[in-house]
Amino acid sequence: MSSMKTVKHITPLFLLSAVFSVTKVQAQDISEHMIGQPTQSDFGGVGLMQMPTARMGRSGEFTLFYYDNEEYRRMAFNMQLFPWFEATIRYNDIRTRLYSSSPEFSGDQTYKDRGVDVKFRLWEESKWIPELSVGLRDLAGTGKFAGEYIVASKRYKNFDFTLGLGWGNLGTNDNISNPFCEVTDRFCNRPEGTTARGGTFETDKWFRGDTSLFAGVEYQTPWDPLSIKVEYEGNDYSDEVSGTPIVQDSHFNYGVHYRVTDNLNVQLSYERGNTWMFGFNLRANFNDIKQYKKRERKRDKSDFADRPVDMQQVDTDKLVTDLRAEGGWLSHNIALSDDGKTLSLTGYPIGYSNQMEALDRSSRVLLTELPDSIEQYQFIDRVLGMPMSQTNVDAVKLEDNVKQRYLTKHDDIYRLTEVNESQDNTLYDRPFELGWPRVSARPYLVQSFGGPENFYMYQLSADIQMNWQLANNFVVTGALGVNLLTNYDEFNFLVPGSDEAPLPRVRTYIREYVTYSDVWLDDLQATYIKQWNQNLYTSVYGGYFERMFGGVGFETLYNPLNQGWAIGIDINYAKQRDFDSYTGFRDYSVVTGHVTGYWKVPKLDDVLVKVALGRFLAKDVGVQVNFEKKFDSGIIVGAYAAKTDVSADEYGEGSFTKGFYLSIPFDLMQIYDSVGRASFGWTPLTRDGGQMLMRSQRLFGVTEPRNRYYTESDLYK
Amino acid sequence: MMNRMFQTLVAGLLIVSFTALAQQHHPVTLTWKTATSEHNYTINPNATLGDFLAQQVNDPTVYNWAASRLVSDDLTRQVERERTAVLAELNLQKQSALSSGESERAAALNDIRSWLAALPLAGSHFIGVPFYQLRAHKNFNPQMQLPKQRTQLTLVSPKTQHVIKAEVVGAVNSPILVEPGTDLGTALERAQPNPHALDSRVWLIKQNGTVIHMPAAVYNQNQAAVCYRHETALPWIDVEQWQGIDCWPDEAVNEGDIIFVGLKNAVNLNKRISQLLKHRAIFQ
Repeated sequence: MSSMKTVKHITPLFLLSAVFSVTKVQAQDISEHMIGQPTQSDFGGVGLMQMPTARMGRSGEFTLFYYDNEEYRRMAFNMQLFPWFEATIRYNDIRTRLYSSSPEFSGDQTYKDRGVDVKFRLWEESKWIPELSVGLRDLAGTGKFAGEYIVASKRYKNFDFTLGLGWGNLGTNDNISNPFCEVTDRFCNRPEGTTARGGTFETDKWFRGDTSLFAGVEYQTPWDPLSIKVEYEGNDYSDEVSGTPIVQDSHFNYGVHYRVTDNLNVQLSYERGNTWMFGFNLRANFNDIKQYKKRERKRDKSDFADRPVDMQQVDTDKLVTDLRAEGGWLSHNIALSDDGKTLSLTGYPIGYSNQMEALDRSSRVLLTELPDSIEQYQFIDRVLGMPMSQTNVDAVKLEDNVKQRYLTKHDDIYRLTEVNESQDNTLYDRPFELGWPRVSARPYLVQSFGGPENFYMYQLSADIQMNWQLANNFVVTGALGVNLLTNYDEFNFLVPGSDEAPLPRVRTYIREYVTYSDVWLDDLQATYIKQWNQNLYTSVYGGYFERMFGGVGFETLYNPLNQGWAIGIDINYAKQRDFDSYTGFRDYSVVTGHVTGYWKVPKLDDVLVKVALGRFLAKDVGVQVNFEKKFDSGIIVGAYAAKTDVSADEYGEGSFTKGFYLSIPFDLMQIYDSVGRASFGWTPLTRDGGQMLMRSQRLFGVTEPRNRYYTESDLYK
Repeated sequence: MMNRMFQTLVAGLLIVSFTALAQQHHPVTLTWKTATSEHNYTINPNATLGDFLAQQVNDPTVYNWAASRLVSDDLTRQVERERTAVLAELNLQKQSALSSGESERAAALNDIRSWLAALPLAGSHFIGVPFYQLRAHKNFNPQMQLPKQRTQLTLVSPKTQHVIKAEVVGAVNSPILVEPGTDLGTALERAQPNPHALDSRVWLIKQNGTVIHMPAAVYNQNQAAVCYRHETALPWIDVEQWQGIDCWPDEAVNEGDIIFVGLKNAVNLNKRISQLLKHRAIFQ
């Protein structure tokens, strides 16, 4: 992103004309449906300028945001997770203050403040009643911009009016008495100060103390890309983190919002009666993103001409090859029942992230390569030699559909069941053969934002990955990292030695690990998995789990087919790896493990919640909650938080472990089908409390065909 | 004696042959109705709609193919079963409203019930594209038989010279016809939704079978509509399985549109009535 630094006292018309002269040529590019959609505020999140509105974006809206003024520069991303819930994660660059008073520690970097905002819709707009929302700004950072609000918005023709009550940073103008103070005295005063370590929910401040009324209107002009905003704000800038006096000549702010394209918006405003501000944002909707696919032609009724009349004519090798090429089905075994009516195919779908696409294509191959005496195909998903689930395909009905025999097509062709393997007459069998390991390479990015040494710290490496199946249920996985680019050598945050630190240093030696060598063994793990029955699985594993820990452990998972839930337990003996050698260990060791529940929440579309209770790497005991929401495009937005018996003081800055991540299907980035995903994480701070062991071959992922979530299928809940 | 045995054998063989034949190919009879004419045909069971029309139609521009329907008795029975269930549900809600003292809501429910009970319905396959494109249209040129039964079809084809007006129905003072091109807001204003109508979002049933849950109030005009696309080969599915996607349709009503104004606090019922309206008979 590039930026345009804001300056005071430049002729407003000059800036307005500058912006529009660049963009008006492209004004026709915006889609009609973008006109009148909610716009972003100066803080990120739907709103006017300084003040929020009650409006929500469309579900799936994702906005990357930059905003700039004299004192503050803001970078944020905003996510509309549900139609009724919006979240914003923001970094505030306080340009008037240094990160710390110690140049050796943070150089000339300016102060960075993290913040998270949330907004909930309480009431949807109706004919007479406005849309009503409640929000919390900067609720889990250091609280320097913390504020709460209740806001209503009502549209009349092209005008969208907003009226709200603000507390904290939104209420310093104190132009109205706090209505909650009338109910109880506890709400009359707001405790002063902010939490230096941040990260806690300071509920004892919410909706307390000075209160302000704020209001505004956004007008959609007849010129489609342009809307005009006016607001009366509730902040009088008397309590700002900038450390410099901020003069407010007027409570009224004025702004224009211009849609350059469907995905790029700019906003220019004149605020406080003396200051220009400028910002832009890039948006996309995670439900709408699609990718063209280059695929083999799908077989249809024109392909039945060479259909064999009996099994003697079937070319099994061709069948196996075509299933792989057209249906993405990797066959291990093909068998025909004694009565000749059922064909069982054991194998694994490797081609398509959508199971229905894979089934449809594979079944059409079978229809045209097998005689019509076979009435049912059984696809048995087998992972590491273990049969996981079975899909029965009614071949007779499928043929009716493909040939368009009837006016109405059958919609009961596929049926998911438990595995019922029978290999009466084996037509093809590929017994396990010890082969060479599968080796692949991928770029890998480790990153963190907002550090004292540099706002953005990164290490870009090439990961050479290895997957070697030594037996049906036994696999060795590993990764070798090769540094390509990094600035982690600037990382100079050193907590005291283990004797003095309140917690064992299980994660904060990151600089030592990153700077030791340009080539390192990231992980090397051997895993054996046992399937007790179709619901119950156990794995035992050992090796170098991750860059910082190695050891041994076991996991057991109960995962009933298509029930939308699973439960497991893992116990591990983990020893800290040496950062001064490639393969050695340090003295620190821990027994760590969790009982973990997995639940696809029925009333929330495509939401997976994981709750893990147990002992973490620093021997602290507590719970980690992980929330994932999958959008129509397959993109997953996830958030996690761990709270343990470590106090906020012992934990240090951030108070508890939390983070966000984005998982993007490869399908969206390439024209060929794939089942893979790329993940990007954002962890505000790396600290030692609430840290889980990382390892590969977790059973919930291995047993994906039991309860699909990361791949698509209409057959599952 | 030999003669009688031979006759019996021949008759038996004929019966067996016809039975076997009937199991493979069910006879298809088709009645073709336009506003002014009606003709009956017996169709080769393997023939497609494209085959039939290619033989019968000299000038394809005479007929309005977008509005044409292939009515099947089987589908009509399914539609009628659903109508009976919806009427029962409306009655149940009416009784519930009466017992809780909401007499006006009960009256509104009763009005909808009476209107729906009298509505001519015909379970229909939508043709949707000009017949001469059917052969090239891989999703819709099926054979004209139904599985495991005799097939009785009625092809209903309005003529292009006859403009089919849009109609506003449901929780309104009285159903009205509107000219194609009329703004949705204007159409609703003229129809006068009753006090129990949910008029902020209405159901728009398009000629091609797409059902749109459409924002219709001044304050929600910028919100996305939800489109439930019609699958040609599955003309009837449980509304619970409807997969809607965000869409932004034209705000002007088009030829043959049905605008259904639903009742407040009856989301699922409104949805079910919308699917019934997809199968409203064009003309008797």
